[in-house]
Amino acid sequence: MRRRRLWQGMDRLLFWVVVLLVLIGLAVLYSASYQRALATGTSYLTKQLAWLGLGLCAAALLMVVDYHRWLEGAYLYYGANLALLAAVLVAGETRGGAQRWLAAGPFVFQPSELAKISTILVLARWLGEHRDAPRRWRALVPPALIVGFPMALILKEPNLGTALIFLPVVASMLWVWRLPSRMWWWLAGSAALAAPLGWGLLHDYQRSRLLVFVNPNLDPLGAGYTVLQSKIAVGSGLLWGRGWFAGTQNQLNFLPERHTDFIFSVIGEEWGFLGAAGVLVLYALLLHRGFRIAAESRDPFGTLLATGLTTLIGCHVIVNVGMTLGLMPVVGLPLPLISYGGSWLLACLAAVGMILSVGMRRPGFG
Amino acid sequence: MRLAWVERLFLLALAGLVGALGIFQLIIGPSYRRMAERNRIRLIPLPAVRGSILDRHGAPLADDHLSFDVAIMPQEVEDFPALWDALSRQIGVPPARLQQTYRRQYAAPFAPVVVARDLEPSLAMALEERRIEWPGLVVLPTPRRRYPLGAAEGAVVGYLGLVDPQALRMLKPYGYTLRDWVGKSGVERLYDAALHGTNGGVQVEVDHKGRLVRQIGLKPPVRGKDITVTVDAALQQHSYRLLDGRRGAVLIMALETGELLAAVSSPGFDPEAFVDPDRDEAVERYLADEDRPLFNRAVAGAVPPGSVFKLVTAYAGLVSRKASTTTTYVCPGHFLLGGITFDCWFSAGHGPQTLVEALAHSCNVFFYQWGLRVGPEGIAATARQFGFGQPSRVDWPGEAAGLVPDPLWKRLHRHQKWYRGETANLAIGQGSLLVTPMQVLRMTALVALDGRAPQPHLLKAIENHPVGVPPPTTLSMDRQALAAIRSGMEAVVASERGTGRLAYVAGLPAAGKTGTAQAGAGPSHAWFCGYAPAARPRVAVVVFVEHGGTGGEVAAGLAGQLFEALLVKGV
Repeated sequence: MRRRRLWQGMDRLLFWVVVLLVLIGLAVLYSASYQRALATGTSYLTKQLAWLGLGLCAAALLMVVDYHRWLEGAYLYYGANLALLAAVLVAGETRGGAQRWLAAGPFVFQPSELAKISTILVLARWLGEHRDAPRRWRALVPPALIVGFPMALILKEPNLGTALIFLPVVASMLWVWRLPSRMWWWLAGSAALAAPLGWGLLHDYQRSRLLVFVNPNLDPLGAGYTVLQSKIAVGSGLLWGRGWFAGTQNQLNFLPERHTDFIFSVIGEEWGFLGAAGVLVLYALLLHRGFRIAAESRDPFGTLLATGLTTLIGCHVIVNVGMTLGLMPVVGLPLPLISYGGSWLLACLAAVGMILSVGMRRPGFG
Repeated sequence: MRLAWVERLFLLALAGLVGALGIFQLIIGPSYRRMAERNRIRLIPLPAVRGSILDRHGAPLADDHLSFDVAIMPQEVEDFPALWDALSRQIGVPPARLQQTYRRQYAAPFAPVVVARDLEPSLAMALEERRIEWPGLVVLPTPRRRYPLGAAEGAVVGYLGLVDPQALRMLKPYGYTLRDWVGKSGVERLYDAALHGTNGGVQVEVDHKGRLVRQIGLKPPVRGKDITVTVDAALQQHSYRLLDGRRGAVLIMALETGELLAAVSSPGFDPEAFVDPDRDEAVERYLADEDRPLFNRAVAGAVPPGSVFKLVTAYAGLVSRKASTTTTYVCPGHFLLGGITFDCWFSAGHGPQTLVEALAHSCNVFFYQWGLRVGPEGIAATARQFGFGQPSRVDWPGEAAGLVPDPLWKRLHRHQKWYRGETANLAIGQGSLLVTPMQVLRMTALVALDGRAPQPHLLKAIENHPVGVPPPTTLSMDRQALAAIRSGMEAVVASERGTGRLAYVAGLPAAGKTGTAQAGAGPSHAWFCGYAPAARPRVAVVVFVEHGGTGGEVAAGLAGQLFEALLVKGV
């Protein structure tokens, strides 16, 4: 009886939006990886389907079990995840100059993606438990440490984009936690002062990506190539797109990384403005529902958790699409639910599962 | 309430992205679409086969034959070192050299790179059969231009070169590209527009590495038109061999039509050297050679004519009515003028001479006095009427105009007075007078055809369509004077003491005039101009040997051999 009521409380719209995005993702991935599948005989699609199965199980489990239970174990998962991040630095696989992956049998796994979720979980618990604490600078030390450890480990891999995505997530959670505005001013000021310092710590390739972002014609065959080809791909889609499997930038291999970070370019090229804008509308619905669940949660834990997870998804969408259009620097942030990448798909489905879980336990619904 | 702000922020950002998408796809979209098309479509040129140049009987003077080249298709090669080794064993070129050639020529993954040229057909066949064992290896049948007569025909057909980048701007509207061969001299140059043909091309779709994906469009190349020239290959070769590498020229023309049956400049050059990438040294030798093989002596070299010019002087005297065929001068072997002694070439003296005798013996003393009586203006005017001092307008590039001096010319150009001694010199074809063998040929034809002037030319037909030739233009000339000159010319060859005795051939009565022109240091230029048969002239011949000696011994001897050859051919 109780179980049925629980399922009735599920946000149906959010659910179907997610299902739709996942299906769109599979269709686009099929087209984006078709040439490679022809050439090598191995398809990204089958791997992605395997991860999708795993992700759906995880999402179902997260929905069924009360999220308070997960919050209880938050420190445990967080600690385990930090250990995995440390393990990556010691024994991880290196691809393209960065050590980001852990291999476990046939599965290759990226702990930094899951670290986003476990950090939000711990942060939600700590901020929820200390919701009445006086808003002093000292009070910010524990959250800073909670975010700082995974960020530092991820920066070390190096993976600048993933590390930086923690900042808006933390910011939105602190905002909901009601951090007073004078402290925001201080934070913003010190961030501005720290920026030049951060430039000195960047790797050369990261700097060149940022410089190319400012001026894409700086190096059209090198760092600027991807962005240029991506813009050509998106732009050439016009209103209706060139059709599924008919994008020349995609099928003739002009677009690098088109199955992962630049999959939105393929959507733009083959599905046109209607397709690309449609996908953005779906994301808007997802965010809208996510924030509504956060607002209607019966306790601060649910609010904070849903806020953090929805912000994470939203930031990924905006940075990824902006990067595709050359409006954001090229940082390796995949598109939620669509980009190829098992760990990230799993993390997204887990996030959606947890948001739905919070929604199912809203007052008046549960 | 705080959450509502976060949501608004995100929705605003998403709306911004939708707006950006609109700008990218709907407003700038078409230009991005063009860039995408440019990304994927490449054009591979298909050069047209050049038209052949044929002699008057259809024998090839220049044609494209298939040369079997070994090329590497970069995108198909799986194992380069193994390929070099295998290829090296087959064709006997060290692998390192093959590799070096490949690196230098490499252009794109889908463009074949030629690493070895002109294979034996049997070897090419063997390679082609075993192609599957070596992926990436291609045997390319490439058209290469062949010139069967070699150096003998160089001056006529000219040579090819790659399009000059500066000239390309002008040639581009006519379908030339930077990789095209274009005629640089001779017939190859003059009739290049017909010979060239129209290049074609294949439009292909390529991927991001420039590898060919599929063919989109094809414009087949159109072969150039064949050019038939008036030259007789056998006669041309024979004439060239007669000169035997000496500097000079031979011209043989069919009189009624103006067709040049042989057009030789010696020493010649082998046009094949210019299209063979392995014969660069030969080209450099041609350029450095003191004998200047690339210089067309038949039309471009202006030299003093010596005694062959006496035909002009003779005619000038007869039409001036100041002298006649009965006018007689005594030749004691020399002639005194203004305190200077002018010699006759025969120092013992010819004795009393009439015009016909003086032509036969080429008596200088006779013509000094004859010329002085006519005056320089009269000789110069006649010379111009005979075609000297202006190009003959033969369709053979690089023609010189020569120079006909007269008192006015001297005043204008040298700012000096004309001396009587110069008139004497002009009368025997010396002094400042400069002519080309082609002009001498034109003069000979005019005399032989009794005042009709054919237009010398080389083009006979374009792609089997004969080129219309205007009949010889009839000039208003004194027939009796020309007849007298012709009897003089007949005596040159036929009479016992004629200077052109060596040109005599039993069975082919010929007429002519020898010339021995002093020119700076070294031996004289040897000239002979003539026609045959004497009674009904059909061919005119000019032989010129630069610093070759006397006209009577050298040039007339060669002319005799030419007449013999013409007799055998049945002209």
